Amino acid sequence: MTSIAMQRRRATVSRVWAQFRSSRQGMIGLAVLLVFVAVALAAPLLADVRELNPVYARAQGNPQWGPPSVFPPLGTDYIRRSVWAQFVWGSRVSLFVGLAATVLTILIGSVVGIVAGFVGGKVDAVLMRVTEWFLVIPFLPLAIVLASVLGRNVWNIIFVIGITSWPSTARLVRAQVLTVKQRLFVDRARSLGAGGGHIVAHHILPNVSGLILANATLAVPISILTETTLSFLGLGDPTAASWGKTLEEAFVNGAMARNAWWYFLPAGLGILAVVLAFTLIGRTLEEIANPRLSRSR
Amino acid sequence: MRAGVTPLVEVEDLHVHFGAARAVDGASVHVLPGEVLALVGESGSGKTTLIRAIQGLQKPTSGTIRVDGAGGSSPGKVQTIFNPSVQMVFQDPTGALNPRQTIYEIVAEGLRIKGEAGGEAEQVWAALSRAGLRPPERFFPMYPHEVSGGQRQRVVIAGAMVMEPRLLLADEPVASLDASIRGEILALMRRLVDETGLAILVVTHDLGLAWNIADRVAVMYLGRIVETGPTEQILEDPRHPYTRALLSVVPETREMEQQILTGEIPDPARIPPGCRFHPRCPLLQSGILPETISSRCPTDDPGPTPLEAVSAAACWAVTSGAGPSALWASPG
Amino acid sequence: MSDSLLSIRDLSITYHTQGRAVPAVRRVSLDIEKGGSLGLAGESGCGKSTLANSILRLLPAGTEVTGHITLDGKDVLGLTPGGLRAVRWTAGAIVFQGALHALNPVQTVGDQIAEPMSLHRTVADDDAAKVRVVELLRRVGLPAARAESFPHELSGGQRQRVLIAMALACDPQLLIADEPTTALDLMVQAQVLALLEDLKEERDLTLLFITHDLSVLTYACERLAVMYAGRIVEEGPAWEVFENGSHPYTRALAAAFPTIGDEGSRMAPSGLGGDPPTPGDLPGGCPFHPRCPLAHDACLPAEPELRVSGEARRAACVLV
Ligand SMILES: Nc1ncnc2c1ncn2[C@@H]1O[C@H](COP(=O)(O)OP(=O)(O)OP(=O)(O)O)[C@@H](O)[C@H]1O
Ligand SMILES: Nc1ncnc2c1ncn2[C@@H]1O[C@H](COP(=O)(O)OP(=O)(O)OP(=O)(O)O)[C@@H](O)[C@H]1O
Ligand code: SF4
Ligand code: SF4
Ligand SMILES: [Mg+2]
Ligand SMILES: [Mg+2]
Repeated sequence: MTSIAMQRRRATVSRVWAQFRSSRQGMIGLAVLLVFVAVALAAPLLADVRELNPVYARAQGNPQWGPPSVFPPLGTDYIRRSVWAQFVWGSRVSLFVGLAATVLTILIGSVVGIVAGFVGGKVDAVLMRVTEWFLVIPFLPLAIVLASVLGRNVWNIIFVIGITSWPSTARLVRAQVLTVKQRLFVDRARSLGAGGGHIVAHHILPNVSGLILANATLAVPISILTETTLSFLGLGDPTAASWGKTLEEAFVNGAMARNAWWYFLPAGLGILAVVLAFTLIGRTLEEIANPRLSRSR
Repeated sequence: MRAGVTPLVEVEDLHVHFGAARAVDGASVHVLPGEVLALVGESGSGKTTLIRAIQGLQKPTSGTIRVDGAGGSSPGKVQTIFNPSVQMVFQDPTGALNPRQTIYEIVAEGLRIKGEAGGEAEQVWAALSRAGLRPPERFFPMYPHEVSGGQRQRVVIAGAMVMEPRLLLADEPVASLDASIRGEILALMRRLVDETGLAILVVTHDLGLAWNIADRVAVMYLGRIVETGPTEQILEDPRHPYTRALLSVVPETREMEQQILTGEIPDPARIPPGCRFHPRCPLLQSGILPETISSRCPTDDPGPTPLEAVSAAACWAVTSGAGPSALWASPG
Repeated sequence: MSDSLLSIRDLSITYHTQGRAVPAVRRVSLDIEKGGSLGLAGESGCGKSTLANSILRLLPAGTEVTGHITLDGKDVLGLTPGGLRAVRWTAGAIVFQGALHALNPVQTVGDQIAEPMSLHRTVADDDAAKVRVVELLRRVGLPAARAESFPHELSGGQRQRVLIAMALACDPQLLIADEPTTALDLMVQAQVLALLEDLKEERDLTLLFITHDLSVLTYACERLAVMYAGRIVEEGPAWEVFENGSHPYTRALAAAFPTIGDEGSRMAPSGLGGDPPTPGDLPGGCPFHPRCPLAHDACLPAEPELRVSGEARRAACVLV
């Protein structure tokens, strides 16, 4: 009979999709996001990865600080590298870091939130103390310390973002778990002999998953911005050409003073667009998950 | 207690306190196999709390709950145990169903937890059909919000019966069902009791329900059983003044003069001294009680009805042998 | 009836779910005059709540509604969102079925009662709202201290009274009570019925009372309407309909609640046989015919319309 359940699940997915499709902000966000995902996936087709190497760039005879008119499509930087290649390959790093850090954030946040909310008592008190502790310690110093201790590579950046941004997710999930836990259907499951694992899997999770998904979509832009900030402060992975790193190099090497807008604008607009796209998608999903925001009337 | 029959459940001197509120305050009841006991009483008298404690959903403050002669706890020491042969039907079917589960999943859930692999679909089909949801396959893929309130309660009943319990704790099981289904469900419950030896402890405010299916009735007031006895006796010749007041407001028995109890709403955080009913007792207020009794009511507690009691009322006017029927008969 | 507070004409309501149409209410017409009271009875799923919710347009989006609803002179189905907000709570208020569900678990009941008042600015400030909350709680028989309680700290009956207090917050003209006494014990039911009766007299409150318990309706309402499969099958003065129903279904409903002391019903719960009808898949002719003890050939060709069955009475059965 699981086929019935599957059928209904599929129906649910298509209902959510239908609702999503009818939202303009959601569809705009999705379209923008798809463009960037396509760019990231098709990077090898769009730009030669060797263009990122200053030695190769010099050998190619690229100009220094060449504006788009001199070196299309997006000009070159202070060491003759193609800005277009940096933009294309940078989208990969930025999106990857954003998504991976979000997965980590949501994973830690959900597990902590669900355990704290569901188990309650002392476990809850301890976990919430830890969560608060993470919330109040200033993020940047911690990130700086962690990044310098762990070394500067992409995985460490992901780890740093994940470890510092889960507390708000944990608090949100915990609050939702607390209300779901009080519902009578949890008592019904207990009467049927259900243990904690069953209740979490069949009753708690399905009733908080919408919130978690919406929260995740809203966490991606934060992760991307965080990665940008870290890179901008020179704490990024020196070998990975993320948008944040492009901005940092542009800034450090005086692109502003030279009025070399073509150097920093693409990365900046890229970040803005992706952040906006995720926010629009997240908002739409949130409205669908929480019918009180959208339905009736 | 019926000679030689071991009670299926014995609740002795049970206390469940929420802070200062003594929701259950020394209640004792027993249920024999194959009988229906109706637990009636005012809102907030602790009926739900009592059966939640039996189900193991609520930790008692003190007292003993013995299910099936075993698994009990000694007085004072409290432990709650899960017993699959005790199942519960809840007061609010909307809250008792997970909005993200289909009706099929809801009914099958108990079977899956029990780990019964074979014939799941058949059992779910039969349970739904038995609960009056026909044709069952129409309901399989539906979500709770897509059926009406009454249909929801039938899903809850089907989900409990699929576990083949020995004791069914039913909290207002037909209150949200319409009249026609009400009869069918009550008949089903009675038939299960007569045929399989299932015992039912049913919480209800519907005295007609008790008349329809219950062997015995226990009347609860402020956390305690104040009168218990065979259904005919309680409903036709009640002795406790509270039971009489309850009967007088049944819509179907309008011939009786209504005694709508007023006065302070009973609050389990402030249980009155003496007889806990005395601030609202119409018999005491009528002034027809002899001084020897009426002087005791506000100060002396007539005590709870005992665990084994088949027929008892916690009222001085009754226990002193003043002949309550005679007292009631006098024009007042 | 010119002085109707609520007038419903030819109302049909169809839900659409999984590509299936569920005609929950079919061509219903009814009136309640100012200060009057109508009891709506009928079996689970016959469309009572759907009808009640439609009066304040509280149905899920995508539900098809045709016909006319006039409440306090306003065409409810044609109202703008702003006009609708004004009608809700002040012209008509509803006590929803399922008390537990309608209350916010993390807000005190006092705050929840005060919410519609501040929303509709019927009180000057927070202090005035507090005073009014206490007054309302007392009105429904709860101690003032209960304003500080959270819903889970109240028993089912206490919660139901909070809901009634909430519905009364903005002094509505029409009170729609959807199964308001179902979860209540007898004593509180008697108190609530007495309370509703008082309110009716004191404030000229108009009442639409929904429950499956015919005996309660008979006690609480002047007129009674019985619904079956989305239609009204009988309507008339409460006691007459209850004691001497024209429609076989009404008689079956009235018989379902036993008289205590009647040996015939002891250990013999009586119900109507057969299955409740499936909306969207109704039997042809009179939809009640598969369960009707009096069904005969004349019942099959067409669905009987309501016709006069006595003074101020109507019933939809070929035998009338
Ligand atoms: N979790 C809780 N915390 C505090 N008080 C509680 C709690 N649960 C119940 N109570 C109180 O205990 C008393 C008994 O409640 P209970 O729900 O058992 O009553 P009931 O007899 O089932 O009433 P009803 O017929 O209205 O369902 C009530 O006064 C209620 O306010
Ligand atoms: N949101 C919905 N989507 C689809 N069908 C619905 C929805 N709500 C109700 N229905 C269906 O419409 C019919 C009428 O439902 P309604 O809730 O009005 O019945 P009711 O008379 O109030 O029943 P009860 O006495 O059980 O509360 C039922 O068949 C029900 O299954
Ligand atoms: S003991 Fe006294 S107060 Fe209590 S019920 Fe009996 S007569 Fe009334
Ligand atoms: S029309 Fe016929 S089937 Fe319908 S209620 Fe009347 S007698 Fe019964
Ligand atoms: Mg209860
Ligand atoms: Mg309803």
